[in-house]
Amino acid sequence: MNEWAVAALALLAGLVPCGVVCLRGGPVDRLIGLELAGTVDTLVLLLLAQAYDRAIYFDLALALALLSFAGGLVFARFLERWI
Amino acid sequence: MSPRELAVTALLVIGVAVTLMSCLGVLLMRDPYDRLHYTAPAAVIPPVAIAAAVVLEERLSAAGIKALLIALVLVVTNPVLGHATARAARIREHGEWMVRDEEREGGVRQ
Repeated sequence: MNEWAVAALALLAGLVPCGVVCLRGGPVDRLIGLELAGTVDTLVLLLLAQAYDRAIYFDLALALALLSFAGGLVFARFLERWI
Repeated sequence: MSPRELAVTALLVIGVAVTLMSCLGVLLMRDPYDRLHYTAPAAVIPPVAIAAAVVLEERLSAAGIKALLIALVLVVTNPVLGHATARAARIREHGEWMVRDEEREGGVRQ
């Protein structure tokens, strides 16, 4: 277990506050928790790719960064109108 | 421990610490607008620090370039997402997006 894996494990602890925010508060608060969880997950995947020393795994983090951005925009647009 | 390893470890510690504090900030704030402020450090400082650590370790190989690209994507997209979320919060609160006349009087615009 190298330093990158240790850092990824430490970052996983950051998902707990995000989950708590997603469970409480109004819809916009929950969306903010989801967005922050997407960022933290991207960083975890980035660190794990380096921990396993495979260049191809970085694509996973890149895809998650782009998709969580698109998903956040869709949710924000949705919350403006309906719920 | 070589200076390069020391720099990599320091950058990783900075990235992890800023992310965890950012998550705590989002948890402790009450208002959506206050919470949004704490998503910005998590999307700017840690990606840049971790990408710099990867580049220090791997030089500008495929892994280093991809890490820089991921950092760039996070840094560029987070302000857009924050704006969209704040806009959604305001529309839910006030019902409309345009500035009303009574709000305009106290502001900069006349």
